[in-house]
Amino acid sequence: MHFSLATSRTPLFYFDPNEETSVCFNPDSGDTHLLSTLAAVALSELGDETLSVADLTQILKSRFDAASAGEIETYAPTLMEELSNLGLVKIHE
Amino acid sequence: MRPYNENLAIGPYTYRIRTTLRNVAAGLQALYRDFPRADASAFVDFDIALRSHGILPWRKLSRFGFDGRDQFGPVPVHQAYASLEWGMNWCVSVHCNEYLKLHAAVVASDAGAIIMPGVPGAGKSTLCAALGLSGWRILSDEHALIPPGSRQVVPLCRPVSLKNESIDVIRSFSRDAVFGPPSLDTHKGTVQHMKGDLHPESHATDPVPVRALVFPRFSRDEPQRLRARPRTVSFVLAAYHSFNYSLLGEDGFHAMRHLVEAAPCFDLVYHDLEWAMGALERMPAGEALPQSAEMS
Repeated sequence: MHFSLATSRTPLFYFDPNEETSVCFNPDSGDTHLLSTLAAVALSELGDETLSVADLTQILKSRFDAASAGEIETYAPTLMEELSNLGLVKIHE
Repeated sequence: MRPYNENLAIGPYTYRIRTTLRNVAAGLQALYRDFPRADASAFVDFDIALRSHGILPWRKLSRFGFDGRDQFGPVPVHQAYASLEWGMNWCVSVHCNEYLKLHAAVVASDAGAIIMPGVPGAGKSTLCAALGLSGWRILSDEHALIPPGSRQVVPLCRPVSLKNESIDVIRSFSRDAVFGPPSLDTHKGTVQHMKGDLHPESHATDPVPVRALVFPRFSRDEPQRLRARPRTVSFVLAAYHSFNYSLLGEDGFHAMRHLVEAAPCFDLVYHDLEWAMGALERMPAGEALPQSAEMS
């Protein structure tokens, strides 16, 4: 299973380094989402690319501390499905 | 009483207001007596007329007219003053998209402006009135006008709308409060407006730097507290309280981000006005409290 952005342009983000949530603006729908920072980083890493869960997991593991690695591995597929439900990510079977 | 017909300079806008209704004219004369008058030749942003409606003497009604057209359904004449103020709010709420507009009370001290977004009943107007009666400058009871790309708020001082128990709370708080006519049995209960231009600089129009976003909530049952809250969560809540965040699209997102990056955000839970005012006065300027910290 692979994933790409569902939006025509990269969403806009507001990150605060001290917080566990981030704000994401979908430029196509005009919707604003409060996401976990993990989800926001996953979206920002997708960019123009189509990535597999394994690729994304590797990228996220490199961006967060080692203690989170296990959680990222477990949670990444669910995370991408949730982002798909929000209309932010497209799933390629 | 003579009909009322004035061009009022209110913040960045000119309202032309006309009425022959006695109670409305009396309220305008009490609450707007110190507002600057705009030149007769000035561009009128909002042309408002409140007139009587219907011919049945036992069922007196009034209508709110905007630009020569009736805007809303008729209301009983004893609710006409509140309908005027609500209509004046409506003028700004549905127009004026040169600003990011939040539904918020805004007050200022020498340290800057505090924006207090909140749903009706959150206690923002009561707190705003008490602060105004205690030397703070009321910038608005209804709209925070944020020029996109700025960290400032544009003053739009008008009377403060008080409802039900809040009216007596403020009457008890200060004998200096000046009230307009009560509007009874409205969909919000009894509504009465308090004169809001109490500060020497009330009618200045220069934008004021934003010091903080404070989300007030009146609660009798909870411990009082002023607690830092996450900026990202505050961003989304402030967007919820905005009249035009969605309408502005990406510009709205950038404007809100610019504002929230600069302004520490707090939750304020209170039931005692003196305590709440003290907490706002002692609130640290600049950086927010750590999120685990609170003042109680």
